[in-house]
Amino acid sequence: MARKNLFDQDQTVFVDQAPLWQKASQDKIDLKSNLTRNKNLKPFYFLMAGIFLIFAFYIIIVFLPKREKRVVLVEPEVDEEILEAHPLEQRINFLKEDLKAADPTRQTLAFPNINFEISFP
Amino acid sequence: MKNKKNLRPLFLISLFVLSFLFSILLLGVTLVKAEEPAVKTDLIWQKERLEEDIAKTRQNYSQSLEDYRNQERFYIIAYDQHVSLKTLASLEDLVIKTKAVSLSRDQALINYLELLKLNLYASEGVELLLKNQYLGLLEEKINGLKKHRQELEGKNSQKEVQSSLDDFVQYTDLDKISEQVLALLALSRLQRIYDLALPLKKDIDKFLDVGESSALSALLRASEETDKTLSQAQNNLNLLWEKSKRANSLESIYRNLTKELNPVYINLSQSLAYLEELMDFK
Repeated sequence: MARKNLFDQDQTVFVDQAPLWQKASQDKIDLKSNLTRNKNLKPFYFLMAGIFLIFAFYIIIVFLPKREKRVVLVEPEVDEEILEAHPLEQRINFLKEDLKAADPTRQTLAFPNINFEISFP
Repeated sequence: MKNKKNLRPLFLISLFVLSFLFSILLLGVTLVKAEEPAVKTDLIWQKERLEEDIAKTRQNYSQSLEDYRNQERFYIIAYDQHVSLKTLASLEDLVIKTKAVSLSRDQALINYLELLKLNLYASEGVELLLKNQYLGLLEEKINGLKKHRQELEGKNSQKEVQSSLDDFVQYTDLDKISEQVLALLALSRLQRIYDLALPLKKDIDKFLDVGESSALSALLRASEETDKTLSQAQNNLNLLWEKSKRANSLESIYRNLTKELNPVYINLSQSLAYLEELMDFK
């Protein structure tokens, strides 16, 4: 008792101010009792809004179309040119690519080197 | 009553959250659907499936060829061992290794011919009669090899395996058939480019109003020059197709592929360069 009186000897706080300060802090922290009594719901709203925003952000990230990883191109200007090109120019470019693939010097399906003379000695 | 009143804010918040999440879900589904092409024709589906089949068969062929190379190495070792040792054990080992290499040789050839068949089937510039003739020939060889392989699986003695090896003689012309098909494929690729370049030239003429009397004389000259190179490509292609119908000529085309196909290739390359230049008049 004597010890409590020792702490109460704070002379920077007025006696009639102390209960008001205690009451305000209790009101903000005690959410449960506020919810059940339907009194001060502001903290609950803030909490819900925070959770909701985080969840919404997560959903948006999951459902947004995934961007393909950008491949490092040797000549990025060429691709941009193709994209911006006139449809007729695009057709020319596609045909040029096809012609490259049809180069008669390139042969990828040559007959395999197979031994036709397998036998016993 | 008091409890109901207390739950009202919670109920409203939950309702709001659920409706928002539902709208986001709907948005997500719409975005995913929007990524898909609107309409895919049967032809595109068929082409995609064919490309998948070709890729799969190519993979199978690579694996079977690798297996054949391994089996061939084991066969050569067993052969050399039997020649030097001449024991029953070395003979038994040789029979086993010979059967294994023969089986894997059949499989590698089956996969190779399947790959050729699919490529020929997918090619667009080959005359249908010629295409069907070679598709039939490849199918016949594939079925023959499958039968040969199946029969060999049931054989175990040296005599039986030897008879199977003797039967394989009928497939020694496979390299020639392969050369003929490869020549056809090379020709078809160039024919396809010509077939696509021709309507493209017409579309460019239409776009640049080449037919109009007000067209620039430089544009007219450029258009005529492009027509000329395309016409040369067509003539050279026709000559090659005519030649391909003669006996054994496809093999000779394949053996001199660069020399034979170069004129058409240069004509087409020149034509495409001219078409590109024509677009500068726009």
